[in-house]
Amino acid sequence: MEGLLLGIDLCDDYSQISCFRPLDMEPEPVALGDDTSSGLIPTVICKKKGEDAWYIGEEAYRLALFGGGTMVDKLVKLVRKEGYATIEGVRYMAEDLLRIYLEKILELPKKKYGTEEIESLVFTVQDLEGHFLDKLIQVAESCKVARDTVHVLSHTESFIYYVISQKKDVWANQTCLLDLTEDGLHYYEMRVIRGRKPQVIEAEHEKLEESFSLDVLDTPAGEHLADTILTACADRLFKKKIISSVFLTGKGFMTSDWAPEFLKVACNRRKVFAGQHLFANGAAYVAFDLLQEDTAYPYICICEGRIRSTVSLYAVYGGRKEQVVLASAGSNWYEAKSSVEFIVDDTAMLDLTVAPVGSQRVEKVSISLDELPARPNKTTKIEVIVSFSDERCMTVRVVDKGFGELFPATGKVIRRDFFIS
Amino acid sequence: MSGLILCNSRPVKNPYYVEEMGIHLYSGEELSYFIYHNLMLIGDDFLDERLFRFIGQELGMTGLETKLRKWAGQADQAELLLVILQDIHYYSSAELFAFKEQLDRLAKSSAAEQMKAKADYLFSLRQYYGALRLYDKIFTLRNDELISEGFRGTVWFNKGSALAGIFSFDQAAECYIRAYELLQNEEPLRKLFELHLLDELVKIPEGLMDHIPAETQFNWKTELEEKKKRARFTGRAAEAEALMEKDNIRRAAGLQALVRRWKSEYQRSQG
Repeated sequence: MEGLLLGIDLCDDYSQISCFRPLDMEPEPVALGDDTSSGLIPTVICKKKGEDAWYIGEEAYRLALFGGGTMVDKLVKLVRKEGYATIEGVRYMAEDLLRIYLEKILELPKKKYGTEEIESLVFTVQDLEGHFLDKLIQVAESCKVARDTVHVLSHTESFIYYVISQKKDVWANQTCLLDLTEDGLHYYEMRVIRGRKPQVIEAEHEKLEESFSLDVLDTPAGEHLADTILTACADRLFKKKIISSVFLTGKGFMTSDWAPEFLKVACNRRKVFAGQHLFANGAAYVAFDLLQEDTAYPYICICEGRIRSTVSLYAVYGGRKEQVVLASAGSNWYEAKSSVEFIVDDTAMLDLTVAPVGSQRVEKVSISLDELPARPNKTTKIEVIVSFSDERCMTVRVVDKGFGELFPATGKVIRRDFFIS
Repeated sequence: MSGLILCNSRPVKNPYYVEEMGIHLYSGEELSYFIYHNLMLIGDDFLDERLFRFIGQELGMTGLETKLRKWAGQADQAELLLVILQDIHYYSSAELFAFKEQLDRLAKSSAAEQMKAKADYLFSLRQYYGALRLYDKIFTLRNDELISEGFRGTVWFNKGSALAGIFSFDQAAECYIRAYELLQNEEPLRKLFELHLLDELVKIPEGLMDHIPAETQFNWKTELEEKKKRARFTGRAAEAEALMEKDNIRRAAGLQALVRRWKSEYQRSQG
C-alpha cells in the first residue's frame, strides 16, 4: 500500500486532515505549514488581487486582513445552498471554490509523504445531505481522485470508528463526545449492544441548546459562565449512565483550563481524552479499512448516516424460495444503492420486507406492478433499484427490462418513495 | 409458486441465435421459454456444439453443458430438453410436468401428425415456404399413415392458406377445393369465396357454391370487408402509420428499421 489513505473532516469553520500510516497502524494529523500545534485549517479561501493565486487557511485571513485579496469563508454552507461568490467581477460557483480549497489541502499530505497517489479518501461532515454529498464527490473527482476511492461519513460514524479503533476498555460501556466549535456544542453518545451477532453499535448525536460563542472564552467571567453551562450539561447528560470514556474535541477544547468544574464532573470514574482530529482520524481509520479484504470492524452501526433496517424480498432461486437482501441495516445510506433483476411470476405486487435491527416487528411495503406492459406470464423481467435519500427515505424503482428480443423492453419505470423505520 | 424469480445476471457476450425466429437469446430463462413454447421449431440437430457452448461459456452452466455433451448421443432429445429446463429452474414442477406431457403426446403421434404440427407452427410464424414443404412431404407418406380423410382434408386446407399467404391464389384455390371434397364443410368454400373477392381471376367451379345461401355469402363478403378495414389500423400497417407521426429524423430511422425487419422476416419465410 503506497498511496495515501486520507481522512478529511470538512467543516464550515475549520477542516482537519489525517493520513493513516499502515506501519504504525494509526492515523497521523497533517497540518498546514508549520502550524503543527493544532492542525486546524480554517475553511476559507482568498484570491490575491489581480493574480490567479489562491490562498487557504490562516494565510488567506492574513492576505484579506491586509487588503491583498478577497476572501470567501463558510465554503461548506456555500456549497450546500448552491451559492457563488463574485471576486473581481468573476462569478465563482461554490463547488469551484471548494475544489481549489480541496486541491490545496490535498497538497499537504502529498508533499509531506512524497506521493501523489490517493488510494482512499474518506470525508467526514456534520450533516449528510444528498445534494451536498453528490457535489462533494464531484469536487473530489475534479481533484483527480477516483470516484470509487471517495467515501463520506457523518461525524457520528467517524466518532464510532475512532472509538472502536482504541483499546476495548475505552469503550467497554457507553462513550461520549463533546464537540465545541463556532457552530455550537454537539453531543455524541455510543454504546455497544452485546449478545448479538454481529454486534450492534448504536450512536446518537444531538446539537445542544445550551451553547455559547467561543468569544466568551476571551474573558475570565466568560470562561466561568461557559464552565457553568458545560457542567450543567454534563450533569444532565451523564446522569444515571455508565460511561467509560468522555472525549472532548473542537476548537473550544484546544485547552480545557477554562472548565475546571466541568472536568471534575467528566473525570468522575471516567477516562477523559481531549484533542483535535478525532473525526479526521476516524475517517482515516475507515480509509484504511475499506481497502482490506476483511473489515476490522465487524459491527452493525446504527447511527446518523446508517440505515436502521434490512430491506429484502423473497424470490425463487434455483427452485427454492430465498430471501434477497436489497439493503442491509447498518450500511451507509449514501452508498446503499442496489439493483437486482427478477422475472415476474404470476404476481401483480412487489412485496418488500423492512426489518429494523433489534426489533421483532417487521414492516411490509408493496408496489403495484399494474403499470407494467401486459405480457404472458414470466416474460417480464424487472430491475428493482433501491436507493436512499437519507437514513429513512427509501426510493424503489422498478424498471421494465422486457424479456430479451422475445418481448422487448419498454423502459417503463415505476417509482415509489417510502419512509422506513 | 407465484412471486419473483431471481435472474442470473451474468452478462452474455455472444447470444444464441435462433434462425427460424430471427432473434437472439440472452439468458437461460429465454432459452427455457424458447424450448417450452417452440417445441415444433426444434429440429433433431438442436443439441449441437453451438448450444453446448452457449450453455457452458455464456450462461456459465458448465455442469449442464457436461451432462448434455455426455448424454447427447445416447439419450432421447426430448429427455435432454427436459434436463435443460430442469437445470435452469425457470419453470415450476407443474409446468415441467405439462411440458413432459406435451413431449409424450408428440412422441405418441404419427409421423404425419408430427409433420403437420410442425408445418402448422411454421405457418403461424408466417414461414409459409417452410410450411408448404412440410405439407407436401406429408402427401409423400403412405396412404395408411395419413390416418383419415379428415386429416388429409385439413392438410389441404392449411396448404391452401399457406399458398394464399404467398399470394399464389390459383394454387390456393385448388387446395381449398380438394379440402372441401374431403371435409365437406363450409370453411374451405368460404376461403375460396374470399380469394375470389380478393382476385376476380380466381374462378369458383360452377355449382360448387350453389348450396350456400345468398345471405351467407353476403355475410362472408361483409366480414371480409371488415377484416380489410381492420387491417389498415392494426398490425404492420398501424406500426408504419405510427412512425409517420414522428419527427423527420425519428421517422426515417424508424422506417429504415421497420423495412430491415420486414426484409429479415421475408428472408426467413423463404427458408
